[in-house]
Amino acid sequence: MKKGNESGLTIVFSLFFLVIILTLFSVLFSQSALNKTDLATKEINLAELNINLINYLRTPVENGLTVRDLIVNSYYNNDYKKLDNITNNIFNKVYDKEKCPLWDVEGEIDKKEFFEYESEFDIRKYSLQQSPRNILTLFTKDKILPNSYTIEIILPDKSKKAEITLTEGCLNE
Amino acid sequence: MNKKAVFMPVFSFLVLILLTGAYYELFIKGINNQYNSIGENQKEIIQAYNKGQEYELNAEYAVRYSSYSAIQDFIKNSGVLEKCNNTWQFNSECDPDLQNNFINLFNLELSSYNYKLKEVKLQENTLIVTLEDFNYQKELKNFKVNYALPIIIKQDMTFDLKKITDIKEEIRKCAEKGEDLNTCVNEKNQVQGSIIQFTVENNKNILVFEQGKLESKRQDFTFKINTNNIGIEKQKVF
Repeated sequence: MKKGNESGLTIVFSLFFLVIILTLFSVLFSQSALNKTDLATKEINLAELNINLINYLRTPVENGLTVRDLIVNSYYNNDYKKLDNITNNIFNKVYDKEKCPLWDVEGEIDKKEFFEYESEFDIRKYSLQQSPRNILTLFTKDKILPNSYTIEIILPDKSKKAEITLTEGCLNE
Repeated sequence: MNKKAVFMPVFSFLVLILLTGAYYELFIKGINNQYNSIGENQKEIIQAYNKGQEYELNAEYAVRYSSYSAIQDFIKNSGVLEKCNNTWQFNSECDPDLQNNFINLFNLELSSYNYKLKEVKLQENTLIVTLEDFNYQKELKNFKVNYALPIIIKQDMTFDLKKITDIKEEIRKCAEKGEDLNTCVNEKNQVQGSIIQFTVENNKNILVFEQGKLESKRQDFTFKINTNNIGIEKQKVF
């Protein structure tokens, strides 16, 4: 092979190698930085979620009763109509459909679900970003970051334990 | 090889070494350094606040449910011990020391929810319950969280204890003066031999949890007095 051709090939391969290195490290750096930012921001998101859940439980309904009383009464009377209406009404106002298209409230007593309400959410439109390490999600347009918070509540029946979980999914902008 | 052609492979190799070194320093070796713990302290503060709010929310309901159960037991036993068979006898273990008896019942119920009491007061018909402060403590590398939240809960009683206490005082005065207990108070009563049974209407609904159901019902307060054994001696007039 001629000396000039050999040099040209070396430069081309080196450039190709450099491009691969830069691409690989840009992905690695951005992913690792994302994980770090997530650690700090996730807790702040969880704090907001906790406040939303506590405010929901403390929302006055009627005759001095709150949503929390309504949850307990609905369970003991097996009538969830009012709870359904009020929950949908509250969370459809709290969450902007465009920014946070997913919300879900679920109640469990002794690990058995007794109610669940959720937004009208079309999962086909979004990508649920379960793990930021998944490189493929970097290239998806509308990523949803689901967060959930659970509060344990006491019941008049001391032998039972209830848990209310709020999950929200907002767009990662 | 041409000298110019050597530059690119060497440069690429140097970039690789530089970036690998930087990644190692920043994200592998430095995982525990102070820059990586940015947000950890704030996270603990938020966590402390959240846990405090949850504790307070459940404490409010523990007080509420305990007051419902205490009222139910209080009405069932006419404000005295179960062994007194709904009969009041002053200056004995069946003395209608209504406020204290109610607070004892309430304390018993609340303790089953594992909340530690500091103080319980009854003002008019409002229970004022002071629980032990909520405490959250955590020690991190360069940060210490010590969060205390005082818990004071006011709970309106779904039962007019003040009215019953006033009736008790009227009966005591009548007994001391030796007046007829039958006509002493305006409440409904039934006389069977030496036993007078009084019924005090309760105009508030009480919440009762029975057989797996939560019911709101109106329940009157009844108590009996044995006129042969009131526990109070008639005052002598000199």
